[in-house]
Amino acid sequence: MKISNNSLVVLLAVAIIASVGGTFVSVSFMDDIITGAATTLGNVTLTIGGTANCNATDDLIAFGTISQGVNNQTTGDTGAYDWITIENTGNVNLDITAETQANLFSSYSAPTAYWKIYCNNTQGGGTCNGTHHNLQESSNATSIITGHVFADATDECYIGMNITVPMDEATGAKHGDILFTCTQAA
Amino acid sequence: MKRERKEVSDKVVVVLLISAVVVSVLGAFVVYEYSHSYGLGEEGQVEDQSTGRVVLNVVEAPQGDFEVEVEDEDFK
Repeated sequence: MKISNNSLVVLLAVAIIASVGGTFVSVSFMDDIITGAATTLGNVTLTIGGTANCNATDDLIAFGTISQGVNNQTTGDTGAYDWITIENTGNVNLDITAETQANLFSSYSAPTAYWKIYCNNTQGGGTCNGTHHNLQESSNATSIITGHVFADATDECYIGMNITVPMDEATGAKHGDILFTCTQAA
Repeated sequence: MKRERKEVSDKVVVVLLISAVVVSVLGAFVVYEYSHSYGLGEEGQVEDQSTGRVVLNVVEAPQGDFEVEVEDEDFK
């Protein structure tokens, strides 16, 4: 079937009108969400989305020099006074887990009783898990705190470490990395 | 005598076709910009990650025969 140019012109005109009309309808629909004018009262309707954000504002625990076979932990009168501080920088309560990102000791990979983690304290609400847990690999992260709140004055929690240097660990500088995952609390 | 209708030229059809495409793309762009300026359909972030580090310097144990034992079970 052959279509004449006249028919094509009509069809194209309809397509252009439909396109412009569709755009107008879409924009008008969105304008219903925010209405108002310079000289009248406005009406704004909006929903603030929840955002889970956390930041290790102090991300380093330095134990200093420790002999093979010696235990140290970041608590108590004899321990190192050093913590990892995690701040809830979002606007929802958080559940925080920890897992190994890089092993601390070359002689023992996580999970090992030579490297434990626990929640020492929190500024505000939430359930701080004070049990000393063997730091796990990524497939089995350890729960550190649940329901960690986001209000500015109470949004920090403090993570401690409990380490024992294995007798067969080689001497020298060591470092272990921990990955904290913060998810929106239920 | 029946009057013969004048046929629109091919050039006019091509121009209209291009116009239709331009208007359609422009309309889609306007709607896209509008929806993003209002934040419509944007989901909040539900997960974030941060890292920490432990450092120490291991030195040899003092001379003498002793062994260290660590608890395998988690303890409080």
